Amino acid sequence: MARKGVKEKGQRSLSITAYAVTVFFTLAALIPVLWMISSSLKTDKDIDAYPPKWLPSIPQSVRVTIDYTGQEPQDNVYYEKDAMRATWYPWMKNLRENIGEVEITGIRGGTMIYRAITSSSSFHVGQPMVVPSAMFNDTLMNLKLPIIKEQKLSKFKWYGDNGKAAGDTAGIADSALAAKFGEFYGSTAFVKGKVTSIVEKSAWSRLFDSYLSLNKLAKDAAGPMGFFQYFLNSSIVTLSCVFMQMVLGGLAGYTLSHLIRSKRWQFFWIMFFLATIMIPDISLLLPLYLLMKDLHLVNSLLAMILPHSAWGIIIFLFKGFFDQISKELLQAARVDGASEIRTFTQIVIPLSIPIFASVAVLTFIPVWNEFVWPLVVNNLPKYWTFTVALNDLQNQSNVQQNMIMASSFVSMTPLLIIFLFSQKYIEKGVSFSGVKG
Amino acid sequence: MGDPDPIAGVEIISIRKLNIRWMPVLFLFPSVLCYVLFKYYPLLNMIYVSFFRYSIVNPPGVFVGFSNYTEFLSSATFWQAVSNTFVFFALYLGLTFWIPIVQALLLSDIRRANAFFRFMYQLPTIVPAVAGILVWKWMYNPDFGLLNYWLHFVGLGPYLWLNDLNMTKLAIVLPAVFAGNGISLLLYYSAIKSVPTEILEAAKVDGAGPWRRIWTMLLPNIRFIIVIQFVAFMSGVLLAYDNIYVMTQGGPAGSTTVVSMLVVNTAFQQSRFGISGAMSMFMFIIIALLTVLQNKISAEKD
Amino acid sequence: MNRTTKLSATFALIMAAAVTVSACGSSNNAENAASTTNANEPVATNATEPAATNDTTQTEPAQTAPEVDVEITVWDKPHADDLDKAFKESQFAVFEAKYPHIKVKHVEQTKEKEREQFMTAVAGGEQPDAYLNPYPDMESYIAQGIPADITDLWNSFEDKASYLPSSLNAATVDGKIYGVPNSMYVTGLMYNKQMFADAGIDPAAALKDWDSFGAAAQKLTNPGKGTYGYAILGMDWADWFFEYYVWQAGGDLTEKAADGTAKPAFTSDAVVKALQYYKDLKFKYQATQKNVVQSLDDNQKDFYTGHAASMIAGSDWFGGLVSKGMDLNNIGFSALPAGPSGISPSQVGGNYWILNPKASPEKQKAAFTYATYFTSKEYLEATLQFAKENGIFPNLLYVRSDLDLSKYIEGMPADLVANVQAAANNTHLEYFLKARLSPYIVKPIQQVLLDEKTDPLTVLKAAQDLAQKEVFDKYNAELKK
Repeated sequence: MARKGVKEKGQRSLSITAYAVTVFFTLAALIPVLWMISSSLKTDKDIDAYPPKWLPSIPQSVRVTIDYTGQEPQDNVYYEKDAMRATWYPWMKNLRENIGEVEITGIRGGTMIYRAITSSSSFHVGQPMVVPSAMFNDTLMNLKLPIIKEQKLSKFKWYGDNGKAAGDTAGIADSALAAKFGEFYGSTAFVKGKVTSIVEKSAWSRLFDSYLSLNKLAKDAAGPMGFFQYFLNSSIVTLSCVFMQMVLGGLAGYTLSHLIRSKRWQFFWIMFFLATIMIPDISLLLPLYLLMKDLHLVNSLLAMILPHSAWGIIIFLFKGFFDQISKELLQAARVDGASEIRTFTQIVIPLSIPIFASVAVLTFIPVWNEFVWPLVVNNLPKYWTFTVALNDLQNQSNVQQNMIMASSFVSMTPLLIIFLFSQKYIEKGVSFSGVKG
Repeated sequence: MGDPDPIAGVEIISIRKLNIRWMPVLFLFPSVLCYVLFKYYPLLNMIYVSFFRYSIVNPPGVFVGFSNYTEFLSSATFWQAVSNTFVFFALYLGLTFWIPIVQALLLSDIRRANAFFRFMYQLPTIVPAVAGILVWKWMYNPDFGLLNYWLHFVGLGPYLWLNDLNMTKLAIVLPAVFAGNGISLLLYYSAIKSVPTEILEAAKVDGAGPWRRIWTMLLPNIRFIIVIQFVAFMSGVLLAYDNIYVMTQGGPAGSTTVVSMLVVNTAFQQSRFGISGAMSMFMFIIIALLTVLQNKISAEKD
Repeated sequence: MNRTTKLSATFALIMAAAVTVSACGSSNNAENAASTTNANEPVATNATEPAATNDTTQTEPAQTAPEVDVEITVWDKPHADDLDKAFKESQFAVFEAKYPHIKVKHVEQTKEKEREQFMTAVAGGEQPDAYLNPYPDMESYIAQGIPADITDLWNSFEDKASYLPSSLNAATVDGKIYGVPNSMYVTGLMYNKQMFADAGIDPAAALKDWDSFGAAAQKLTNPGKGTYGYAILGMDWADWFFEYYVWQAGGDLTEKAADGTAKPAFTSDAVVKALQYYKDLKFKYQATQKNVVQSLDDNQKDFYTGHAASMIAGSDWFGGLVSKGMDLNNIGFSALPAGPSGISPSQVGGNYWILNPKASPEKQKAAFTYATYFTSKEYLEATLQFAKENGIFPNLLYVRSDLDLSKYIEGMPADLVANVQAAANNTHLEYFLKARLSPYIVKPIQQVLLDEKTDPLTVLKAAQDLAQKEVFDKYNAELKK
């Protein structure tokens, strides 16, 4: 009885400690990730705010009405240019404000003749091309409108004479952004129509525009295949590496563990493989590149895959795990007349699912995230991996901090899925090993 | 090990057991080929280069014997980097290495939401390293950083973190304490789960409490994986580059410059590939010695 | 046992082979090293006129020989997001139409680890025929023989007189020329006019000398508003801007003797004064950012977001700042405040086209034609016109002397242009042996900025002793070999 009581007590303190430690560490691990996700939705201003802000502020939609009543009628291109000037110029002047979208409504004689909408994702992607500086002039938009149209940065809907009646004009609203836009229209003569109202509204839906910007940039960089090309390259490289590691490492680990009986040879081969993890990778960069050149593999996916066939730690890991498998079991199979390959595939592998899953994960992450080697061994964008492409993206002039965070989050997702997937297998493996016990 | 077995080792060629004799060769060959091609051949190349004042335009350049070795071995900058490297090693060992082991042991006791917690532990692992460090850099920022903001609630700080020569090394290791190592945890956890329940049941019957069972049953049973992880940890930490580079680029005042960083800078900033190769060789030897030592110690314990 | 001996035998064989190869290689390399080592001299000495490049008027041999078709590789393909991508591509077409016998293969370089990419390509024998290389790497690349010697090509180049004489300095060693000047910048002090006005400070008076600047920067610092006076560069490029202060104090970080040997001057009066001034800016005037080791990008960000009132900047930074939303009319640019010696030299930087020394003469000639076309009056004027039409802020300093900038910069604050050109009057190249000395100089700077108790002279002395032993002694010895 007494003994049972003591055990109970120990169990409770263990459980409490276990939960406390686990919750503490998972929370600590979560904070940077949450901070990253929250930052991906913030403006630069919010990111640098003190005290730190967890919740991003809501982007604002600026709605401007321009009245052309009393002016000579013109063709729709004239109006489109005017709308673009009314959108891009003041926005550039207020680049650091949290503007979610700008909507321009053109009216003439009480009816709406056009509506132009530009979202912040389009603005930030197009800004370096369309308004690289705040030095505007009257002819600038003639050059920029084709860019805006080609890249579909602003939406322009022309109603002409069929527009519906325009609502009341509210005048310039009493808000910070409206005032700034109003000041721009008032002090310059770029916009030909008369600005009759500026309204500011919250635009919740524009909170995620950093992700949309990213997508637009990716399409620009990678062509119609978009990011998919890089994704495909990365997947081919990573999956090939995982497969190679499992086959080569598994076979070698098994050999070291069960087929070589001489202790001396076992030690030699372990050291042969293990010693390679002590070489600083970066110092092999140049010799490896020269080797790839000799093999005519520069600028190919193979160049990125092959060097990953030699990771000492993988073989060591396999060996360590296979050592745990009882030799009697394998001996029994051999006595039954099973060939070595059959013993391996039908007895060893099923018992070792957890280690295969672990090796898969262990290989997947570093290969997926690898950067310097794929960069050096390739100079053709079509062979870029996701990481190289992402890095290139992050270095573009129009990229803001929130986009970098967004891109990090995006690049996490494949790994997230892999983990959800592989966890199931590890559990399966665990139950198998229970059977063996 | 000791059971008398008819299967011969590779060095004894046995004609009778043909299928066995060729198996090890067949199984090992692909790996050996890959290692020779992608590790040892470049390694030999590197060693070869380390004896030259390497010229990138007319390789290999002037043969200088061991003077590349004597040059860096007599440089205080190098020894500073060596000492930094080992301070980092000690910090990582003291602050991070054992954490996933404890986490895994405790996690194995958790029944409710176990899969959820395990998943949560993986989160920091899958954050791209550069992004993770960038976030930590923000948290350290003396003007708007999250960390000082929180610490001030408990009456600590403000700390200058990366602006304080006494704290920079700690500031680099700290993310690894909290972000942990999801993969190690996974390995430890799956090893723990492979420990036969009968052993644990038997211990229970013998009157060992749950804490004692962790100490006397689980821990020894996952020792093999701890040893493997330690080997990987050792070379990983001694050759660490990326995280330090992104966080401090080796500064300030050289306080976080490690040997691997010197290797890179010497090669690609100063184009002195010979010395860079020689330094790599030095690190290779140091880590090899440590590994052998570690192997010896763990073998004695067996 | 058998295996091991076999392995070691193979190893020995490989080593033997390697040594033989090296023996062959080393003889011609020894010459190479000899010819390049003493070739380092004029790099650091800014005043040295590139020997006999501009005045030797060799008559240009008429290009009568029929041109053979030649293909060259150039790493200059514009990135997808480059503002002037379409313009560049149209200019590539113009070039090909003008020189139909030259086919150019444009290769895109990624934006990170450029040096690693370039060096591996060089080592792999795939050096591009023309490559844009920044000033700081020229010294060591020339010593290694990476850029081709283009002295003859340059001397027989008709348009050479139109290039600024000073633009060749960093590419000239021992009278030999190794690069076609492509772009240039000059550094100066950039300040936020609005912030100066708000604090009631007259820039002209404040930027007069070190003391007036320190006092003004202190006045501009307001922790409550998150503003500060001067964004100091304390990260691991700290020596870059620090050298200017040394020059202003009347000295330099390294000294070079006539025989090519060099010695450090870290403990000279000028360097100590400069470092003391850094210390004062941080602790006495408390006019710098808290995070003194933040990156250059962060310094720029603090400036364009209105947190930092001033910083050292290149004349080619305007465009970047303006595109980040900084109001051009708000940016002031001036020569640096004068130091104790009463002078305020700036530094010039930029990049050169370097050619592949292993390419055939035809290819080199084609690459030279390419490089000179993309620095020709015709091309640069087209660039300026493009910038003007597209609202892009142009660079204000060019490698050529025959460009009339005034045509392209209407609407730009006049004082900016004048000040940039004025800053270029008194310039200096970076200190000698920078590539190898940098860490030795950055360390004392950071020690001083990070710890108020540090004594500048003590840390400089320690740094000097170390650099003497580890860099200068070795360098001078290599020279004598």
